[in-house]
Amino acid sequence: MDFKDTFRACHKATFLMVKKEEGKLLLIEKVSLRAHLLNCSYCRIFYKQSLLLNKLFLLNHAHISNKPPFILGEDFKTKLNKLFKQH
Amino acid sequence: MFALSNPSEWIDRYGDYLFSNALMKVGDKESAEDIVQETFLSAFKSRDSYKGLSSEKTWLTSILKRKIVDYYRKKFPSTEVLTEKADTHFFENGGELMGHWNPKFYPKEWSIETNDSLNNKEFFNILNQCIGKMPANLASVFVSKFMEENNSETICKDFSITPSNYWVIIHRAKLLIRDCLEKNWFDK
Repeated sequence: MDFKDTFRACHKATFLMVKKEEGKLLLIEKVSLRAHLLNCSYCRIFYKQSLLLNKLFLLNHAHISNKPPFILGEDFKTKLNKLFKQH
Repeated sequence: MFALSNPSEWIDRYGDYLFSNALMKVGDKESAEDIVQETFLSAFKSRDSYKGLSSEKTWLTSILKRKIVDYYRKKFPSTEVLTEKADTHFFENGGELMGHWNPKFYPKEWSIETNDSLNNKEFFNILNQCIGKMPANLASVFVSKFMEENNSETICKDFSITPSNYWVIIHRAKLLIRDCLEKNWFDK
């Protein structure tokens, strides 16, 4: 990987951020991401928000479990019930 | 130990949950309904082998997950190769600033307090709409990773993707969902 390229590009830096969240960065990638974040306020915002979003995504899982956002139609439920009876 | 309730109660108790889970991953109503139907039928046929080691809901969800994996294997039999170049509308495509944020997509500081989002039903509605707007093959990997906390090895196996494809998908999904939430919730 070209160090200078990584240092400059936000596209690459945001890619490294998602990889970092799973602890999969090589040393050179860690160094270049840190250097980029020092120099790029937009990516610092992205990084902070990315970690926050991960927490919200997990909460969404619990939310969906308690209150499913999509509802099966009554016709479909009736059809399923009939299928059970046939088996 | 857990016990199973009467199968006639499953549809009312878990139908909407299984349907929501499937719909978020496959993106269209008909396929999601087919998957839910197959899940219930499989569960019904194999109910004698239920050992009570997990709750009824967990057991049904695990059957649903297998059905979704089967669906993806049929729909995308060969690994769809995604290149990093494809999601570059967020970034400059050429010139001196290549790879830098496109000014139209500069991440902004959010004005809404996090805690306000955590307790807000509307936030989750918008989040789920944003997931629904993603291409289905991204959404499925997204849900599997960020909501169900599966590890990358499992996800690569489930969706027959390579590790490098996996990272490209996660990266693109994150860019899309962050942008969608910013426009529709955090910076509205």
